[in-house]
Amino acid sequence: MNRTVKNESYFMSVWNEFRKNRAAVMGMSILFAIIVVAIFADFLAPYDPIEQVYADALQGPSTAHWFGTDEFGRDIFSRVLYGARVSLLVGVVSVAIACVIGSLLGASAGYFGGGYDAVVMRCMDVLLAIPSLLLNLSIVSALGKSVFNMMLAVGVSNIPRYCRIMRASVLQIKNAEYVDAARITGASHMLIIIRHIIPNCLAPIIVQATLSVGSAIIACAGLSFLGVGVPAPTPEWGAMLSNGKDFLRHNAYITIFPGLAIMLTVLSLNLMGDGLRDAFDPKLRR
Amino acid sequence: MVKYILKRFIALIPVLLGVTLIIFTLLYFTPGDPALAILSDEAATPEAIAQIHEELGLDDPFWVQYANYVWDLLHGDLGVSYLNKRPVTELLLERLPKTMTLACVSAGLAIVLGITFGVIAAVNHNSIFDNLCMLFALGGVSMPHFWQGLLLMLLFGVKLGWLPISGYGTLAQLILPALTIGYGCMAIIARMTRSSMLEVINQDYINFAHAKGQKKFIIITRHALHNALIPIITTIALQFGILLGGSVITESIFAIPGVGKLMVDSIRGSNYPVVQGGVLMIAFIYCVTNLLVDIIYAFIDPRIKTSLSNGR
Repeated sequence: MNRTVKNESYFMSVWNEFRKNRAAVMGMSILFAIIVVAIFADFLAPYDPIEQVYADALQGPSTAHWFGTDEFGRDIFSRVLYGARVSLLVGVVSVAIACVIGSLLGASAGYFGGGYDAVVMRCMDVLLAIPSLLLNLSIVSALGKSVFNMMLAVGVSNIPRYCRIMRASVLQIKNAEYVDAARITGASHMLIIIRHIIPNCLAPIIVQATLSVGSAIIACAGLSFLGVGVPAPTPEWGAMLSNGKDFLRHNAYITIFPGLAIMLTVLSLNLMGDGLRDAFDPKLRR
Repeated sequence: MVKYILKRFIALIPVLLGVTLIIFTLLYFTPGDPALAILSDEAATPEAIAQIHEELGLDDPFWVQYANYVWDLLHGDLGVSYLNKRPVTELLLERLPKTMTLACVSAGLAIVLGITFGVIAAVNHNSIFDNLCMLFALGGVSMPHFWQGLLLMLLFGVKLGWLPISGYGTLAQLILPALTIGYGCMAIIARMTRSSMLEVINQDYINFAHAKGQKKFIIITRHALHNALIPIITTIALQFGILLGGSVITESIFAIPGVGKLMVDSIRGSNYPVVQGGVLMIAFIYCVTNLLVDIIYAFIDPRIKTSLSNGR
């Protein structure tokens, strides 16, 4: 009997597993739609998100303004669409900062071990000892209010998470035969870490990164909610919630729509992250 | 065991010292002159500014200022509030019980509901109960808690008028803030409980207990949950930091005069000694909680206890 052996790559098999998870695919589709909205906000938004039209202030949802208008007469639907741009950007960039710095620190700490490992991990313990929101607040207060500083603050507070995950993965594979083989061929430590160790520890990092983008979006929205995040009048979901809380009694829609936008984005990322975790987990794939 | 606790306690000292260094450095480099924050516009003459610099040692080098700060800290002195000249320690201790009460009530809610939902989901794996519990939990991890707080306020406070929407003092005033902070933590605990229970629920000793005719409730609580507790407790300990951090926003939303609200007001008013003191106090509570959890591990897991008594 002829048997065809299907020779699929590791990532292809993960993708095939991921596709079977309906919730994860739904999450990915929602996220894709939000990314499209963020990119094409200029074409999709019916109004300028910053222009103040006092004659239209505090109007409820209608055909002219689908999500209503805020106290400055700005169209909330347009601001929610543009807000996707800022929120996704801060989420992705802050996770990228944490991921790159945390992974490099964790990989080098796990690989070299000894005193260097101890120093790096104690520094991570110090960062972990400060609840992330408080650390974010302190960093933003010190550096000043701006989108970049907010991303940096959220990124820094996430570094320990990646550092620990990467270190744990490196400890498992640093004595693998292919790493010994690379060492014997005379490869430098840097080359071994970047070319041989990090690519083989990526699975848990990818899962963590997907799940962290959602929490980073919430963290940034929280900073804006407290008034230390994105400066006005930039449309940002957290800042919109903060403005809306003063009008909660009679104009609750100002608060409801940006909140729904955050929830939908984070939900899609969580569904995708859960799906990726299951797809990467060999125990569940058996 | 005593040696282990002592060792862990000593390990806390460099961590807390690191926290002081980070917070002190961040606030040292914060733009703006503290003397201007202390003095009113009319009183901010060059002489008055110079006097305050002299009094607070603001012209000293960074390391001298840091050493003085740590020295004062060791004597229980966290500095003086720029705003009302009251000692920061006094201000924080006055508000700490409110924050701790809120955090503990939220934690209690999160633990009880989280473990219950997690166990129900695991025991009824892949059923409608499992899906409902996990959907509820997914909502908790996806919803920003400050938005959820505003929605609770709108529904139960403004529309239905069942619960007060601000203030502190009565049990009714605690319900909405506790639900606001607790829901997210509950969701994470429920997800962890479910996955941890699923790992033990098909083990041989569980099947054996079933075969022996043991009651299902006893099997779940005494055999399965007991052995699934370690990762759940780790999650709970990590959530305590989030609860304390979450109180910062929640206290501001519900106008609760706790440490969190004090810190937000202090950041807005550039009242840095209070910010430093608040962060340090919360970090200390968080570290001590983690230490307590590590000690609890030893009591729950006999393997850890044995390895400790063997000195391994």
